Amino acid sequence: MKKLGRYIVSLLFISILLLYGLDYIFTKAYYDGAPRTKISWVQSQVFPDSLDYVLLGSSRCIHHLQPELITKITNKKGLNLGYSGSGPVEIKLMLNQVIQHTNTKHVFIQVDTKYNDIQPDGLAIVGWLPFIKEKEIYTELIKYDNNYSLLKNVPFYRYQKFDPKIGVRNVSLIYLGKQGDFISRKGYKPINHTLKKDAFFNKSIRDKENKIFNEIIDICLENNIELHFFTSPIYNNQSDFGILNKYLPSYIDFSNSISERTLFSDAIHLNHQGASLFTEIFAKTYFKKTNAQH
Amino acid sequence: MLFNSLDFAIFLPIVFLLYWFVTNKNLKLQNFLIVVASYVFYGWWDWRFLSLIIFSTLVDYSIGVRLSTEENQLKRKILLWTSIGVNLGFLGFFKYYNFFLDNFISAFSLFGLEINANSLNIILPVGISFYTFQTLSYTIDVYKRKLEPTKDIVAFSAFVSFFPQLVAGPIERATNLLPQFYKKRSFNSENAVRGIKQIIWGLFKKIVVADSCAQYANDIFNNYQEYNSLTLILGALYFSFQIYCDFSGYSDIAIGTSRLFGFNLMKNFAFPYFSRDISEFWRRWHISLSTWFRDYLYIPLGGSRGGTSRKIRNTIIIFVVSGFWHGANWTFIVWGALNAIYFLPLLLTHKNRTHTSSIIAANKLFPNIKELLSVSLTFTLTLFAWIFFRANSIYQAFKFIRGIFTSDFEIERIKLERFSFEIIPLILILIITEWIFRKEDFPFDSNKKSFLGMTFLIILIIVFGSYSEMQSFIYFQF
Repeated sequence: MKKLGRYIVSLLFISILLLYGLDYIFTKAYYDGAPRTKISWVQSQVFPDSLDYVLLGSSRCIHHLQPELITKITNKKGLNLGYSGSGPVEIKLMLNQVIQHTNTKHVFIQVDTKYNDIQPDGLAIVGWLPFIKEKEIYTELIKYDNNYSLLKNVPFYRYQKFDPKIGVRNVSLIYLGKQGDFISRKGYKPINHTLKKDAFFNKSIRDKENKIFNEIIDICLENNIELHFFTSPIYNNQSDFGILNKYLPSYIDFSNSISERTLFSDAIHLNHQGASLFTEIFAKTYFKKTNAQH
Repeated sequence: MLFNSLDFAIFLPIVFLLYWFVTNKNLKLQNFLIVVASYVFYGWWDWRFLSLIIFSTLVDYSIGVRLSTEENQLKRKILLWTSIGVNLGFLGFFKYYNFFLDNFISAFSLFGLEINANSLNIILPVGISFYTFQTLSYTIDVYKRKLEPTKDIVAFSAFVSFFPQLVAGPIERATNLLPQFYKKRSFNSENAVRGIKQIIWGLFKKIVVADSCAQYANDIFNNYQEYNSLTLILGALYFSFQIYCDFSGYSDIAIGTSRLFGFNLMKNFAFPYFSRDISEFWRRWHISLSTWFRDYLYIPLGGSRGGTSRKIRNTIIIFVVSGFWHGANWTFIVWGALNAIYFLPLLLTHKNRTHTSSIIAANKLFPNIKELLSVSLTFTLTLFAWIFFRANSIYQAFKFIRGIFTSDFEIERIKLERFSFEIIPLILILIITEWIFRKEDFPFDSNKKSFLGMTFLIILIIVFGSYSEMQSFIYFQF
């Protein structure tokens, strides 16, 4: 029995050692390696110049606004830090990172029916797990699910459980130096195809205050950041976003600002051509007005 | 309870400690612990189906006892057929009722007759095909007076429900496993360490290879219309390794776990993809089922004795029934029939026993050209048959095969999902490891540097294991 005990203890010891070692190597990749996600991008470097603005939100932010074009039109410098699936919780987390790692004057947040979400998005939150040991991130996540405690404290567990998103393939690419393709366009990612069939969007927003957005508003106030909310264009929109005026300051609804089918890739995403047009509308609406005011 | 779950990782050490430190002084108590642990293990899925196992146990135990005292041949036959009827009745109802009903309705509708009968929403009890065949082997062996019937209900219950092999085999013979419950087991460190090694090897096959292959194979088989020839061939290849590593991985964990408790189960797989012909493949694949059918179906039918037509008939029967055992779907029947077609030329030319004892490239590092070609041909034939096994319907299987022969072979069109990135090296690691250790029961079995090997496997399990979409074992559904 002693021989078996020694054998098992040795294997367990090696396994635990491996788990801690791999956890360290993987986490280090996300902090110091080639940034492949927006979170790593913000985390891994301090942006030298102060930024005029930062854009936050979901895929309806990433694919819709082109910081390079905004610079061309208005001379304002900024980043598009939206990413797929990002909802209120993820936006709040990203806002905190923006405050820590950049010096920005304006924050623009894209909102739509995700306004009502009060839990982290199952997929979008995964990108935050390599950084879960940071007190601020963990404190935010543990509010929603006790399982985040396991993901934080069991070494390497988060990389195993969410391997397709943050596991061995992604880390290998980080170590190979393959950074995200959004970097060259300051966070914007174009979609090149066109909506083929007719479509429409009809989802309603519940008339209920979301405390996470109140916290976001407070954070911006504390840090002297001017906060704006907006809704990106939607093809054949049949939803009413008017209710958001009640809860969000400086809210502008652009959902019906573009109606041409050929400028969309699907009902809720513009293609590259559509994004260029919307970026122009966006830049003129905010920055020309802001310049005039200042 | 899945072997690759946290539940089992907690369950196994508890049972192990109770077995060797609390109940070790009393054999009956030790067997009783096995029965209780096995029922907990099985009830973890669905406690309601425990009643089936208990009923089956009581019926076969009682019939065994009656057979020991009954001398009248007719009454003995009635007892035997009662056991067969009860066991196959349960199996038939739970597994095949809807299949037969649907096919009867379809057959009658061909003649313009409409039958109003509704399919039942039947849940298939996990492992029913396995424990049914195991208990049947007991009654048949007792009937044939090959085995003394047991008077020990606890030992018999432990034999029927022994948790390591209850839900997916190996299908043990009463002549091998039951006597092990009569003897006091003493702890053997060497054997237990072998058990641990075999469990780790099984986990590597299941979590690393099978589950990784599963995600890619599932995608290709579910969306086969979208892919080109090369991708479809890859899909069949991935499924070939998925099914092998899934099932043989389960067997390795079952055999390894049994070793921890002082039991020796029969070998279920012997590196089947290194087989040089189909008959060798079937001596190396799911050995416990193949030999079960050989002993309890093929030989009673006359085996290979008699004329050519009888040989052909018996071969087709055994393969088709074997296919049907896997599931109530025509795809499994065609899979079985296809293997019969592969096998018959060897049988009829008396070449079916060419490779009964030797292993490929014995005492050599590499196989010669002839061996390599024969292994490749055998693997290609089995890969082709797996398409029917995996497809949801015969129609889908034919469409899949048609896609292989009518699309293109452009590499660029292979959908480069994450799995194509890491899966090929993992399969190569499996093949090379099995090749190096092909003389042993399982890799690293008697290797002096096995600890290094185990460390390597643990690294692979930790880094490349599939934990995000944990799959249950394929053979549970059979």
